[in-house]
Amino acid sequence: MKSLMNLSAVILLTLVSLGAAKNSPTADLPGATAAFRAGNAAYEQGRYDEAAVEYRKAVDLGASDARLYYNQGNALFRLNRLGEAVLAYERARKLAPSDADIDFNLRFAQSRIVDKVTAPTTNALTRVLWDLHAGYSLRAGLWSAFALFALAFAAIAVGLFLTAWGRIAALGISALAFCGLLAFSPSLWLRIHRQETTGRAVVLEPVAELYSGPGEKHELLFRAHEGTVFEIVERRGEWLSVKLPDGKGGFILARKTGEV
Amino acid sequence: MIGNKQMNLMMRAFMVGLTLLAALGATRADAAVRAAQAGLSASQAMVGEAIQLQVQVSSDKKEDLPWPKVEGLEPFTVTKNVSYSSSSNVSIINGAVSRSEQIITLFVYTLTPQRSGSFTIGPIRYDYKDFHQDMGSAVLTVTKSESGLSTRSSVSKGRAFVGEQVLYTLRIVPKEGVQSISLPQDLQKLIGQKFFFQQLDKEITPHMATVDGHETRVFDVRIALFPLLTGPVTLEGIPVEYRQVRRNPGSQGQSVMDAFEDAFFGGGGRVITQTALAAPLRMEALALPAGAPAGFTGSVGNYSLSARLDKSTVPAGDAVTLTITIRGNGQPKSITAPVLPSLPYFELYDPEETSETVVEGASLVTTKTFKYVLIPSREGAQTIDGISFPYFDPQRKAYLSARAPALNLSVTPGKAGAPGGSFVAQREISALGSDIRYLKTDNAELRDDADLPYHHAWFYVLLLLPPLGLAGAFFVRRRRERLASDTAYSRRSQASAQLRKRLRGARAAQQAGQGREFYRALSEALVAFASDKINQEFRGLTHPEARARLEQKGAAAETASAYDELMQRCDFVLFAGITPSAEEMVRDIDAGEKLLARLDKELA
Repeated sequence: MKSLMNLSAVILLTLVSLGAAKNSPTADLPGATAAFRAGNAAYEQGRYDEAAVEYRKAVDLGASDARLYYNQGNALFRLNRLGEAVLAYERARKLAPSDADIDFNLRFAQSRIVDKVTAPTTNALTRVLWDLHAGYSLRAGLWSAFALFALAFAAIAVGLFLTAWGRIAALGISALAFCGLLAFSPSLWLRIHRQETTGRAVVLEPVAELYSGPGEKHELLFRAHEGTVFEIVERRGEWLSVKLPDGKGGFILARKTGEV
Repeated sequence: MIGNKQMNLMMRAFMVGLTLLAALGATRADAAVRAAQAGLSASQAMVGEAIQLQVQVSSDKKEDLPWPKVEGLEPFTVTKNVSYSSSSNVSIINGAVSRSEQIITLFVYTLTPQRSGSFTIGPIRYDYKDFHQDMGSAVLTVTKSESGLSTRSSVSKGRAFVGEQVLYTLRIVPKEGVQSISLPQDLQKLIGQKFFFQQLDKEITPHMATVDGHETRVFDVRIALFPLLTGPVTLEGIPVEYRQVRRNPGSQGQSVMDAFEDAFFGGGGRVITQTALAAPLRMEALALPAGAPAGFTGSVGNYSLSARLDKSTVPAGDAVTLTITIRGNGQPKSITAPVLPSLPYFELYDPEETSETVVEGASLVTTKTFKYVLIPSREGAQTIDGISFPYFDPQRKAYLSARAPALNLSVTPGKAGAPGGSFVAQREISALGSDIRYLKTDNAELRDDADLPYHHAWFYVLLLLPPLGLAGAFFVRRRRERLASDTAYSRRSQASAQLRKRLRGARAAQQAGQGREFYRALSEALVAFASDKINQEFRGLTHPEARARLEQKGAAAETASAYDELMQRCDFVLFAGITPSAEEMVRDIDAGEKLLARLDKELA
């Protein structure tokens, strides 16, 4: 028993040290925060180009914060750099999907772009489910799932030391936590899958062509304009296979877009 | 025209061109193909003049036959076409009627020479299953041709703002024999990436103009351009395709048939199609200055706005139509519905939009009309004022606003039940302007939220903790139950802890120099530990009995002997009334600890 516990401790320590190694900080968050504050000050004085430069600096220093991307989007919007503004707002929304300001500004910026993409109509139930699925940040979702997971085990563990009624209550709590976890897991899994495998791309150039294959020798299908947002289906070298919510799609040069 | 040209070519194919014939079905195989023959429509051509190579394949049934193998086509632009026809024969021999059907597959190559020279087309082969035929080769002489036209391109402004209309004019001066001019279908590919554009004239027709001091027939192509990008921008040269009648050289050497063709099909010449490239142009697109007003939608140019109501008097609750017309020479898509002023006493519906783009002189002008249905809810004199449309005037280099004069409407009392009088219909607050929401000025330190927990090993360690904790809880509960129900286990489990406690007492007595207390505690520790380990009481046993029991329970003879000796030493000090020295006590406690450690292992 003692040796088993020692082995467990060694494994745990190894994993923790591995985690610590991966977690070695490469982001200069204090530096990024200073640049963010400088950007805010420049924006408030109407020096939008300077603000955009400071926000960009903060991003380059490794910060990935919804407030930063949101403010960066505002500065770029003021500079009439619509494609980049939409990209920044999309990045902010990815980190804070339920933020109403981000949603408003993103829609506002998208109302200024040339391409109008009509999303297919969906019924009320689908909309509610989609809102639930897309309305939480991935970080919050992960910790919520972990809390349910830990609660399920902790309730059983505590129940072991309680009387009969106490055990029933503990089992009930544990069952509820497991059910919640089971119900939540598909959504979380999909979010992680999308986060790691696919993404969204925003057209950054005034006009970008979409072809039927990965190359200009293929049939030109249509042109998309600055600020149009596509879902990335797959990557092929310097080309992205993308599609719009209305089903239109094709291959676009990756360098003409920015990935969310 | 196209019909004449094709007819001409077809006749030449059999009259003057090299005909490559092969024997019909001389080596008929079992395959469906019976024969193949090839022909070239001309032996001489000019650069850009299309000629045809035809390969005719006869077969006994219709099939998707493979294309022939033709070499030497590199100097040409090639387009391919295939067609099918059939014929049937009925023969009566000795009263017996037999019928046979023949399918003709015609493979047509339209070849357009790209450079001058003498080119060998071929060898031409046809292979299909067991059918193999070599149809030889032909020599085509291609001569240079002078360009049939000259082009001059210009723009109305070398520097213009993004979104401002610029007139691009391509003047084409044709030479003799040029009959028609056309631009490429896909102009969008050429200039659509840098400009929104619209061709002003639907058809390109010739007219007379003075060129270099001479009255000359010219074609003018006018295109309205709206730059999309700021900075220097190049307008690529536009390829102009034209059709020109070229007289055949040396009419004296013409055959009778040539003379007949020329006279019949166009007056003595061949029609060739060629392309000339207009020179590219450079211009500069300027960015719009900062300070665009709210509601500015990118309209650059001169704009006017008018507004009218279809009635001057209307009962409350009845509809009145407000028509707003915006007219300007900027990019057509930039005109959007204007933001209306606050209309608290009207119910307002979304507008119906119509758009018209016309050419006025050398400019493209867009007129958009927005029709709003308004329902007044309050009687009395109402005024609609402040309808405006912001735009940028490139002449004045300033943002301006086209405004409509105030509109007056007299609202009379409505029908019974209709809103009116003192009743005011409630409605949503009208927006006077729109803008993005302000900065997030929370200055708390930024985070790296993209760095998600599952990217780290510690997260997986964390995931192991709940099941490990549950396993630990199970272990603790089981141990507690066993301690409560199994006395032997309980005593054995707690023997070591009890021993440490007693030895601490003995050490304390030793350090205090209390010899008797020390040996009492040491004796008690030895007896109690042995009793707890084997769950049998040692108190009251004689030394030989205790020694025998230890050996019986697994202790080594040497250990049992040491136990016996140490117990005797304790008894001796306790009962003989001697005072042990400090060294003796240290020696005995060390010996006792080693002995108990051995017993712990041997009695396990």
